[in-house]
Amino acid sequence: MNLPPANPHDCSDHHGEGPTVYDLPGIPLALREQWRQLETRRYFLGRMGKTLGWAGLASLLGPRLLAAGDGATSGPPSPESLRLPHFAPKAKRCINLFMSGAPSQMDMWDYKPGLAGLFDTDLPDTVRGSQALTGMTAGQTRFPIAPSYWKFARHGRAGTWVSELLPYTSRLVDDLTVIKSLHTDAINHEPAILLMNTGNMVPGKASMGAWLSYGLGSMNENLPAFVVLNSKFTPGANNQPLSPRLWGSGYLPSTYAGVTFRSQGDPVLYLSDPHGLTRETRRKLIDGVNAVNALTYQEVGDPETHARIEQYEMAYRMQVSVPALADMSDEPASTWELYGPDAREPGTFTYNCLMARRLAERGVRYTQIYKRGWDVHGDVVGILPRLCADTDRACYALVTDLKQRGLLDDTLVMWGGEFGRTVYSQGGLTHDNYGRDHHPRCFTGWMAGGGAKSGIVYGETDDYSYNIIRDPVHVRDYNATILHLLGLNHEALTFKFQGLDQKLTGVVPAKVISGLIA
Amino acid sequence: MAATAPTAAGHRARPGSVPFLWRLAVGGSAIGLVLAAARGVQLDGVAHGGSWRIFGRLHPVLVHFPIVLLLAVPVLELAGRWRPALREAAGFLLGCALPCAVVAVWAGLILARTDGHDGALLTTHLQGGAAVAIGTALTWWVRPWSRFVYALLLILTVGTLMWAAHNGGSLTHGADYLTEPLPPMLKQALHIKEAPAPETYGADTVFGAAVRPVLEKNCFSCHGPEKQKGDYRMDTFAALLAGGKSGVPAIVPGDILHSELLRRLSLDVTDEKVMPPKRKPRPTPAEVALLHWWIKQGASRTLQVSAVTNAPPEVLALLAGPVVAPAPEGEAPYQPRVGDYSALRDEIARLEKTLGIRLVQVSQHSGDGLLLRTRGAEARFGDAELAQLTRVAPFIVEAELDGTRITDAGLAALKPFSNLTRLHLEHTALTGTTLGVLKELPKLTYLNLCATRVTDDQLSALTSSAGLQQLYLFGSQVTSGGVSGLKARLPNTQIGPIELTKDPAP
Repeated sequence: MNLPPANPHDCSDHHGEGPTVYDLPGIPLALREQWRQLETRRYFLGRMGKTLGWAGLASLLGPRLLAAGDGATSGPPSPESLRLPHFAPKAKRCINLFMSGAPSQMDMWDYKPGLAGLFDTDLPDTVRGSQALTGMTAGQTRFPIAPSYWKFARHGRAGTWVSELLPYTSRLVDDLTVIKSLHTDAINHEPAILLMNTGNMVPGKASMGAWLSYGLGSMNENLPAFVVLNSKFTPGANNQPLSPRLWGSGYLPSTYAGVTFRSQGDPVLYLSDPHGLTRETRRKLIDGVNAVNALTYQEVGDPETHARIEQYEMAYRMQVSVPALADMSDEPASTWELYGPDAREPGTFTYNCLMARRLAERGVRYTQIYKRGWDVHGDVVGILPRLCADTDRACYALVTDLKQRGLLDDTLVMWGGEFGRTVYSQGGLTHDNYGRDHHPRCFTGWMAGGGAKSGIVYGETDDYSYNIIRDPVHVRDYNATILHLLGLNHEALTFKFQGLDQKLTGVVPAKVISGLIA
Repeated sequence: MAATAPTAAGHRARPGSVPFLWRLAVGGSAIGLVLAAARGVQLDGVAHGGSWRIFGRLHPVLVHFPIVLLLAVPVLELAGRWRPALREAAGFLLGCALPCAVVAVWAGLILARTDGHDGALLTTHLQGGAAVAIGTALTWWVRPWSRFVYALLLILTVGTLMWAAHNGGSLTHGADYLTEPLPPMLKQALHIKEAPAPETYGADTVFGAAVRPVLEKNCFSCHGPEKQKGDYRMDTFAALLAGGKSGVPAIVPGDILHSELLRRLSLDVTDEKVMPPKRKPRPTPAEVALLHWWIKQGASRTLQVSAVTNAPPEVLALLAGPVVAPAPEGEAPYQPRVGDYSALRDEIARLEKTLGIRLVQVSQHSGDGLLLRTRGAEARFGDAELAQLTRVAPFIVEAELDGTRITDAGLAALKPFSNLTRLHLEHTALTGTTLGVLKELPKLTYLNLCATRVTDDQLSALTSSAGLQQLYLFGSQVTSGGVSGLKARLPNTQIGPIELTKDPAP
């Protein structure tokens, strides 16, 4: 028995595939030793389990299948390896116009003419039922009905009622699927907005954009598959905070998380090279970093290392793609006529809508624009018109722009907030002003393009815009329908985590709403 | 290991020399394993699936090992009277049979759980199998200790084995498989009952014309002649009313509140007890209404269809026509859009590599075709590159050629794209002189010529593209006059706006 000379740095599970981090020159012995011990208990146990499992299966499966299973060591699964989408999609990409704070459905879309005669009367108890209200209005002694301050008119071939607050969007109704019967489980912003975006009120789940980039992949490797744009505030509006967990990847590999583009200055920071650094030098630098990261990945096997490598590469490619994206001087005069003067000002909702069209043209899978401030608890008459003015023309321009360029056909645009608002006034009620509290039982949103059934109004609420009386659409069903339009079966788009096949629509049964699909 | 100690050889030569405690431990744990399996594996008639299924499916193979081994033991014991060496072999085979029997029991239980088997015969078979395994353990244990008890146990175990094996055969082949070919006289002598002839019902009765077909469509696959999950069988009238192992009557004529069948039918689809179970097709609302109405009317077997006067309209509709299973919504049989291109995998990979393009599957069905994606390689994708795609062209259903360097001359290379439905040519230098080639694309429904230099004159080449549904010309040099001319000739084509109204303000 001739044993080789003992080597203190010999890693027992290293089968000589090539150099390891321990072979890099110039690393002090003590550091190498420390490195070697980085193998944690959890990692060791996890890998032992897998090794035994594979050994058992090896004889059953044969070499071909085993090779396929090896994908686990080469980074996160690609959509090609997931073999998605499940069926031919109607939409390739999505633009989500998220009205954070919850727009008031009965002041904008859900016309209730009967309320005018009920001004300052009490909301019947039978309508409210046993509902628990928020702490903001639960203590009110009265729940006086506040009819909408604004006039409504019929628009489009279907004669859809739209408020005068939306003079531009009302011209679009023949292209819209207006859903008046959305409903949610949460009555406060954070859980409700999480439910809309991640399918769960508890933080830590993957967002819809992350699911789409995981399931469908990128259409342009020079840009992220999932881009988030935040919009400038409307003066006087009550802006609820946003956090990256709304566009996070949750249990999915971080590669799929949304990338926020800044609304002012460079969309992505630190992309431009410092003076004197050439692109070639930058390339060499990244190659070097990637080589070290690749070795670490081989040793430790943490998929997050892979995500880091991907991010370096993406940043390098975005050095070219993002300046071209942000340079809007190539837009024809007609663009500026369509979007209006706000589009010239970086960071406005309008500017972001134009940016979203440019991202859609470039193959970004999911663009989400957040517009905050819709949480109008008081002074609805003062604030709501400002919010509508800041968004109405932009929504119209975006849908029209996509349509004229032939992109609306395979781009799904969605507009909506996280819940609705109450028909009763929060705080004082006068003929000229009122406030509205959170209302999860019904709210209005719309979809356009991407295989949604255009020119219809789906669902109906009661005379108080309080309860749904026909065709309810839970947030889960809404999300399942959106996935369906993108060619994904919400039951089959899963990721194993914590012993569950996690999915966007969660464990409570969800259904695709066929009435929303063209 | 080359030098085996002589003592070891001597040790092996003595039969039954395994220490008592050791035998007790092994026998006891074998029994424990069997009992644990019988108690721990829940059989509820629901197919649970899972990766253990493969082990379960091996049960019909595995079960033959203990059978053969156990049958050989008495033969060897008898033959051992004349050739004592065979008696030693009997002990060895008995030892082999023990783990095999335990494994076979486990596999059987897993098979029953993962594939959702249930019923009286299965339970009997299962008890028999477990008894054999336990009997084998006891037999093996007492063999060196008492010849008499050993012989008794062996006979019992082998007898049980025969019975359990017969039940297993009945499960797979049907209960009358063995006796069916016997001459009728012998059958009578042996008191073997003929399988009951299927009951027939007049097509003019409500039950025969509507109720039974509804039950047949929705229920018989689990509660019919083949399977009786939960010991409930619905294909004979008496059993249909009686109910299953819960003891609750399935149908109480005239009493819709106490008819278990209706209760289970109307549970929420997420309820564990709902029937038909989750993921199985639901009866239509009309069918449910029919069952309600029929039971409320007294669940009559003889009520004539012609005698029915006042029933809900959906029930009358069902009674009027034969029960036709409606085609499941949205599940039209899959129609591949393109042929099989699996032989071109290498070619596709090569093209992706050399041209920097992507040829992505539209969906996981390869029959949905490929999507040509040039994003990222637009600047180096021109006429020559398009011409290289000839072999894969018939499998491409959508081509994203927008922003590429393709020119009028290169469009001729689109001819072999016989399955192309969507074509993006926006933001290219096309002037449209060769648009006539698009006539060769019979399936083209979407054409995007935005931001090209196409003019009115060239549009006339599209006049024979009758299948075209969407045409986009925004930012091209086409005028509104050109568009209206084209609209007249292509009435079914939706043509996008070529310019904005000057003032979009409402």
